[in-house]
Amino acid sequence: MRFSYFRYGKILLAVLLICFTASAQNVNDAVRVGLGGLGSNARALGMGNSYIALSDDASASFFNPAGFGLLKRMELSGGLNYISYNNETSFLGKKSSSTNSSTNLNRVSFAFPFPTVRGSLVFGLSYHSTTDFTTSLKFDGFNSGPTSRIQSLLNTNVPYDLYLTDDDNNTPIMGLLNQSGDITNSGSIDNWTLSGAIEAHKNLFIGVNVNIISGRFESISDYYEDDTQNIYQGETAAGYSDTDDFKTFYLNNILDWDIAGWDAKIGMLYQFHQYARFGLTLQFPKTFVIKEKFDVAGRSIFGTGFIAELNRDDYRDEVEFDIVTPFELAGGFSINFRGLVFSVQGSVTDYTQMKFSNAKGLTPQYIASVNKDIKDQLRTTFNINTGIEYTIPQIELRLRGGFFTQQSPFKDDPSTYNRKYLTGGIGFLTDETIGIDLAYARGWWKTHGDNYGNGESRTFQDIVVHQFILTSIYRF
Amino acid sequence: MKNFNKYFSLLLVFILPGCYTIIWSPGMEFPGEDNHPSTSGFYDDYYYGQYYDFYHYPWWLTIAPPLVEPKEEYHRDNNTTINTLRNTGDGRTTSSDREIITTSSPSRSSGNWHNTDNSKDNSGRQNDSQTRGNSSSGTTGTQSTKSSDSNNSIRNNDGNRNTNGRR
Repeated sequence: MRFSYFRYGKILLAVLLICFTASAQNVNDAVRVGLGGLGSNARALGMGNSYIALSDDASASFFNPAGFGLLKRMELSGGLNYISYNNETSFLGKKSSSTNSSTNLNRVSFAFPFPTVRGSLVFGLSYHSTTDFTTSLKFDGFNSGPTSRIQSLLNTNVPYDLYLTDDDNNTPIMGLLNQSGDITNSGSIDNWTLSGAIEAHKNLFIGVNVNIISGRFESISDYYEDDTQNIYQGETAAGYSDTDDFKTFYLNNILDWDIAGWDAKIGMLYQFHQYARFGLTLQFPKTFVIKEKFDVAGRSIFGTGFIAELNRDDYRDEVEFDIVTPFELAGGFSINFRGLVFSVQGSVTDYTQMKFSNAKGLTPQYIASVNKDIKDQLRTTFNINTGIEYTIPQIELRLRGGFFTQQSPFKDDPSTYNRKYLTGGIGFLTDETIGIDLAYARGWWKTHGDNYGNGESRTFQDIVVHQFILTSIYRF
Repeated sequence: MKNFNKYFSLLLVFILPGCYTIIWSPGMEFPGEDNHPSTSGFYDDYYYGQYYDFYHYPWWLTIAPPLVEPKEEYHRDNNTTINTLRNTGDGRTTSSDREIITTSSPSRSSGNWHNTDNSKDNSGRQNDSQTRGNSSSGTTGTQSTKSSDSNNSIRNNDGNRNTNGRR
C-alpha cells in the first residue's frame, strides 16, 4: 500500500466510508427479510399456499394458528425442501445464466390436542423454515459508457490503495471496461414456534403463536472490470511506472448475517358446518436482530506484472441493527363440495412501514435516511393465493393445484416484477395415520440490479425457481 | 409498553370467549363415542374415505377410558370411633354435646323421692336403673347425683389441672 501522510489520514475516513457505501444497509436488506417465504407444507404449497382457511395440520404455526384447533389427533410431522434458483441475466446486451440450489430439513412439528368434553384445545411446537435466501446472479458484458465501479468508489480509498489513482485521487479510467461477476446468496430464516388454539365458540377457533426467529444469510460477490480493449496503456497511478497497462480490477464482498428475532401472530378460523371455512390472521411486526459482518478483498493487475491488493483488515466491518417488518393482515375462504376443496386468500402488507432501528456502528442520521428511502421506494402490496384439491376416496389419493402472486414491494416496479407461482402436488394416506404429500412450485418473475449508480451498469434478470417440498405426517 | 398493552387487550378479546371449550379432567365422564366434541366434520367419509378419521377421530377415543371410580365422600362425623377419639380429651366440648343436668333439691331424708317431677315415675324399674348406675357407691343415689358425676367427668377431664379435693 502506498504511504503518504495525506493518504494515511484518509484511511480512517475510508474505513468509515466503506460502511456507508459498499456495505451500507439499504432498502434491499429490508425487503430481503420482509418478503414472506413459501412456508414448509407440501399440501399447502400444492394448493398455492392458499391455506389460511384450511390450516388443519401442524403447519398452522406458519399459516393460521387457529387451525390447530381443528386437530383431533396428535401429530408429528416433518419435511424436506429443495429449491433450484435459475437466473437468466441480460447485461449490456449479453446473456448469462446461473443456478444455485439447496436442500434442507424444513420442518419438524408436534401438536397435542387435549381431551375435551366440548370444544377443542390444542398446543403445538414447531421448528420450521419460512424463507430460503438461495439466489444467484452472473453477468458479463462490455460497458461502452464513461462509467465504472472504479470511478464510483472514488469517495473511498479502494481505488487509491489499488494504485488506480494518482496521489491526488484522480484516475485516468473513464469507463470502457468489460464488467463481469457473480453473486451467490444462501441461508434461511428459521423459526421456533409455540402455538395454541381453542374453540372459543362452536366452530369458531382462535389461535395464537409466539415465534423465536433464527437464521443466517450469506452473500458472496465477485466483481471484475477488465480492460479487454486495451484502452489504458499508460500509467494508471501517475508517478508509479509499475501501474502501466491496467488490466483488471477485482472486488470481492462477503456479507454475513447472523439473524435472531421474534414475532407473534393471531388467527381466527370459522367453520360453516362441513361446507366452508373462513380464516383471518394478523401477523404482528417481526423484529429481526441482525449482526452483520462485512469483509472486502480486492486487487488490481497491471501489464507490468504488478499486482496491488487491499489490506483486508482495513475493510472489515461489523455492525448490528434491527429490521422491523410491518403488520400483515390476511384472510381466506375455502369451500368443500363433494371431495373438492377450493381455497382462496388475500393478504395486505404496507412495506413503507418497515424500518431500521437500534443500530450499533451506524449513525442515527444514516438509519433515518434509510428509513426515508424505505418510505420513498416501497409500497403496499396485495397478494392473492388460490388452490384446489380433489380427493379420490377409493385410493386415498389427493391431487392439487394452485397459483399465487407476490407483488413486488418496490413502488415503480411493473407487474412483470411480481412473483408468480404455479403449483401442483399429490398426497396419499395409509392406515389412517400416515400422510405423505409432495408439492412442486414453479415461480417466475423479472427484476433488475445495479452494480453501481442508477442504470449505469444494470443487470436485467429473468428468474425461474423450481421448488419441491416433501412432507410426512404421522397422526396417532 | 404502550404497544404491549394494546396487543394484550386485543388478545384478551379473542381469549375471553374461550369458555366454550371444556377440557376433560379426572372426575368427569371420559369423552367417548357418544359424547365427544361435535365440531362439524369438514371431510365426510363418503367423499374423503379414510381422511375422515385422519382429521376428525379424536385420539382419546382410541384408548381405554381411565378408570375413575366416583370417590365416596368421607364424613368423619359418621365414624363414631374416630369422632370420639378426636373430640374428647382436648379441651372444652361444645354446648350441644352437653347433657341437661337436673339437680334435686337438698333433703335430709335420704332414700325417699321428694322430687315432684319424678314422683310419678318412682317405679322399681327406674330405681333399678339408678341403682345399677350407682352400684359402686353403695348408696341410694339420686339421678341428679349420678348425672352430675358423669358430666363432671366429661367436663373436667379436659387435660387441665384438677382442683384438689373439690371433685
